[in-house]
Amino acid sequence: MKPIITATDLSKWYGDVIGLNSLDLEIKPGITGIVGPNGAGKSTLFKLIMGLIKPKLGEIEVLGERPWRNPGINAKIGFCPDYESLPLDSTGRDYLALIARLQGVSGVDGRVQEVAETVGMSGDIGRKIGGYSKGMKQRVKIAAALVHRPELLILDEPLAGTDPLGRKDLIELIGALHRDSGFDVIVSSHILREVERMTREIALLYKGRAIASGNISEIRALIDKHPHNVVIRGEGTRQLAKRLLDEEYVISVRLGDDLVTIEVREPDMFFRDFPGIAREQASGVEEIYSLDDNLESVFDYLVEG
Amino acid sequence: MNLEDLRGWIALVQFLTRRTLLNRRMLIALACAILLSALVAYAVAEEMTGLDDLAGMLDIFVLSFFLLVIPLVYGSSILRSDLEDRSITMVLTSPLNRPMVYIGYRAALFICVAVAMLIITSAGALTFFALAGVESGAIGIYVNVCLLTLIGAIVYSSLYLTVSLITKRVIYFGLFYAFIWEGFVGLLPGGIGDFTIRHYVRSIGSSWIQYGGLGSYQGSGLLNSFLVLAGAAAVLVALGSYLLHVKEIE
Repeated sequence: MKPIITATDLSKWYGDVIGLNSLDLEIKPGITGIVGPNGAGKSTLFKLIMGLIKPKLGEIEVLGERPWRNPGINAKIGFCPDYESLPLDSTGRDYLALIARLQGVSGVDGRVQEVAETVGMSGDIGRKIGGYSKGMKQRVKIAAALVHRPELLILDEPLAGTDPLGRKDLIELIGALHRDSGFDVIVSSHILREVERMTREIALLYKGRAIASGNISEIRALIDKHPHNVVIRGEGTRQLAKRLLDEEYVISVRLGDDLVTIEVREPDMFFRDFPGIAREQASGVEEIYSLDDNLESVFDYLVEG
Repeated sequence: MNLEDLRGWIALVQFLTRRTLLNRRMLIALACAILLSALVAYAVAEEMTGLDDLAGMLDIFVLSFFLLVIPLVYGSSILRSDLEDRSITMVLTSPLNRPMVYIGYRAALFICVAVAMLIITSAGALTFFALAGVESGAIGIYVNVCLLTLIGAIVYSSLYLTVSLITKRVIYFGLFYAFIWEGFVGLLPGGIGDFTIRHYVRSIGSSWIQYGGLGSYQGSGLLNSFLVLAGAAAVLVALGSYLLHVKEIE
């Protein structure tokens, strides 16, 4: 499958501050999550993709073209920036109509109404943007990115500042945009669980570099060598912990009031053996969970590794 | 530029013009300027009612004051505020190339300044006519001053818009330029006045209007003045287009 984004040795810095540092990355069609903490370089990467800034070193290609000083490519991309970027004294309808006309859309009024319905804003599209909630502004920004039916959607932190219900709706919307309308979507966030709910394809950015990219399962495979922390809660867990220390893959045990935290080297082996050992010890395990069973831990491990 | 780009460009100009003209702060500023213009005309017409007085009033308050201030008021914010809050992003991520985007802002600014200047000039002139009557030649003076404000609006708004791409403090630059450079340094004896926009606007005015201070103004000639102003506007537009073309939106 041909990549939609290819970054080769891509660097960008602002004075002494490094935005991207020799980034090498390929993004394939579908939904891809760009994940990293604040300052990782996500927004810098998106601005380079959109041709808003110029690479200092290296190259970036978007849909086979270089974006800097190439406004023609903008007809193929829809961009939702992480900052507000909206004229507060205009109505949502006027704003979307402007974007549609700038993008050369025909049948502007109908298309504006259509995208307003897609993002669930048809009832409020005639109101001034200044009176919108954060979630509504995010929706209008997404609608603006969609209005010209681009091949590729770039959504920079689209969930930022939205309430839990709004986040759920936006996550469903982003999934539907790919599933039902065929948009390729690149979405960034530092709220890692939510990225995981949108896609299994991720690229992890840290300090301007891509430290891992691919399917989340493949990335997990990379970290299998790293220790996992498993919490066990219930009666008889101290006795159980003592027994578990006999296993080669258990590194250490930390005791709490009614729980123990087991540090294990090979989590698959641990979870395979654990039911038998628990039964053997007749312990009353009420709950067992991995502290590392989410994207944050993947990220932490890769960064520390 | 294809037809779709042209439609997009027109939509941008319409959007910016409407947004700027209907902005509440701009409307308040315009209302104050209209009131001031009418008040000045009232004060002048109370004592002086000749064509020299009408031409002098329009020269001092319209060409030497409002024509410097109004382009600054609009020109310091129309593009700069969009760069500051980054709402220009959605325009710069459209297929329209950046020089055309700049010229779109430039066109919208000119329309706003022209509309404001025509209203302000008309408020003063009509107040004067209402109180002093309309002498033969008075309408000619009014029309010529309106044309001079349009010529001045092209150059002043080009200057402030281009400077707004260079510095965030365009308002300070504008105040310095309008009141220190044009209002003081440009009036010193010698040829230094030739380095002001106002000199060339008044030079054209002296060829068109034979009354008041304009009538006796030692200008640089009609054609020369037109060429200098047209050249300055063209250079400023080219410079602004280039600056936006190479600007990174961080």
